[in-house]
Amino acid sequence: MLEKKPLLSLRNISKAYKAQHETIQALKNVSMDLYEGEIVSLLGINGAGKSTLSAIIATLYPPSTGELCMDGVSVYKNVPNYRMHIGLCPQHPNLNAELTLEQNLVFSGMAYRMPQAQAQQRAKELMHAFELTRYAQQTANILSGGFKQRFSLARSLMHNPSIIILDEPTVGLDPHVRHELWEYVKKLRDNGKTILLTTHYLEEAEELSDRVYVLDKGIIKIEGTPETLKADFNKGSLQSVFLELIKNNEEIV
Amino acid sequence: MITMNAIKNYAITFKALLYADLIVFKKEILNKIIDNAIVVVINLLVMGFILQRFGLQSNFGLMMVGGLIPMTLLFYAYPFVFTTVGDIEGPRTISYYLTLPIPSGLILLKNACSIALQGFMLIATIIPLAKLVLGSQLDLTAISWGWLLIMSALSSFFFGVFSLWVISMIKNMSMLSSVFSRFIFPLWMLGGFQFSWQSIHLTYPWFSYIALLNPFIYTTEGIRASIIGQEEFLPFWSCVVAIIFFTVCFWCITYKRLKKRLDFV
Repeated sequence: MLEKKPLLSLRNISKAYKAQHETIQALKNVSMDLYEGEIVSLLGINGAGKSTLSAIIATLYPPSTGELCMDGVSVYKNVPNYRMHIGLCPQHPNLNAELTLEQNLVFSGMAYRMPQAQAQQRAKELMHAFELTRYAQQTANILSGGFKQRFSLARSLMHNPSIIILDEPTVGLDPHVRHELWEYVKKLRDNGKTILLTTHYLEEAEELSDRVYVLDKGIIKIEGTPETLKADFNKGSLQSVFLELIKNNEEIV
Repeated sequence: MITMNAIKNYAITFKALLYADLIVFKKEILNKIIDNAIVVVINLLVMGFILQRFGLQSNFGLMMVGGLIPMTLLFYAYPFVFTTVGDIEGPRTISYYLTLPIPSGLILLKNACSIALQGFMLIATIIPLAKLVLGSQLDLTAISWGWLLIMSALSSFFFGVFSLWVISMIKNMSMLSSVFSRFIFPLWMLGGFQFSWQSIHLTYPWFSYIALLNPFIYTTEGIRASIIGQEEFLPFWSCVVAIIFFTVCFWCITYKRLKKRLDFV
């Protein structure tokens, strides 16, 4: 039987940056694989390096060392081409506040080389899917956080990317909106999209993830499916596993 | 190696981003034209008529037209420094642009082009306004329109890149006023806004040589040479070369500094 090849591979990714004369090692030799049609969650406490890792995968920042490969080829050989396959939904929705929300989506599509008519059609579809049509002609600054986040997610999907990076997509959302988003994320996975989810919500990770990576101080502590992790730690929920891990870590420290 | 296909793709993304900026500009253009018209008209009234009663040269209003074009470009570009520094410190919308399918450096270039294009559209109103205010003092047939077009385009792009350079120099919002007092204002005030290089050369030769280090002087001199004629100003083509030189220098410094600061790929 042929072994399944990863869509995206990270090998020994490290990231250090300077902050006020101090070098901070945000990531240390992180290696991971992402396969087609799966949801992978990155878990960790604040400062664990989750957002830095997401940003490196989105090519927002370069790693200090290490390699990021798509289909076995370094993405740094042709970054713009790789970016066509990536959709990033950042933690803080960074929509252009001077454009209407429809314009934000249409220009995003056009920036990803969609013809204007196609971008308009796609924007309509996504606004309908996320129940945003009534806000289409408003600017971003009048929206609540939840709606901004939905628009931000819709924008990340405009160009139909194969890898979607969701950095804390449900922070501050009402429970029912969060559940709606979960359903949408599952649909994306069922349609063959690969999703990297960064989250603080462990029940979210448990509900959505096919696999989980736990990051702590820039190092991957454990990796596995929610079921295997629960079995390995003899716990009933991912939350209990995570708390156990953190507790063990604090004891070691 | 960059292929023709890649260049074509980058051009599509670049155009879409520029177009989005112009959509925003279109919403604000009338207000911007009115704001600028007030500055231009008042300047020309004071410099072209009132100060002549105090002994100022009779053609000083005409001299000021040459100063007002670069001044408009400078003061149109400068607010982008506020918004961009605020963005880098706050919502970081720039992060989104830095993940688009285009080399990240082209995002910076797009910003410079966007500022340049908007500034260029704004200065297109200055000659008609000047003609209205100055009347027969401004002879439209004496203007070298080709030179004026070249110099306006180059100056617009120069100030677009210059504003990015200022952004790259500012670490946070609290530095904005200091940068204005320490860099922008001296460059502007000593950049030939109110005098020609030759007039200063005849009066204070030592200062005129220092002024040659100021990139603003080439924009004011080049514009004046286009509007009034070559005789009393620095050679037009020397100004063109100098502006290109300074634009390239500022671009290289800006790219290096912003790459380090934003840490983009």
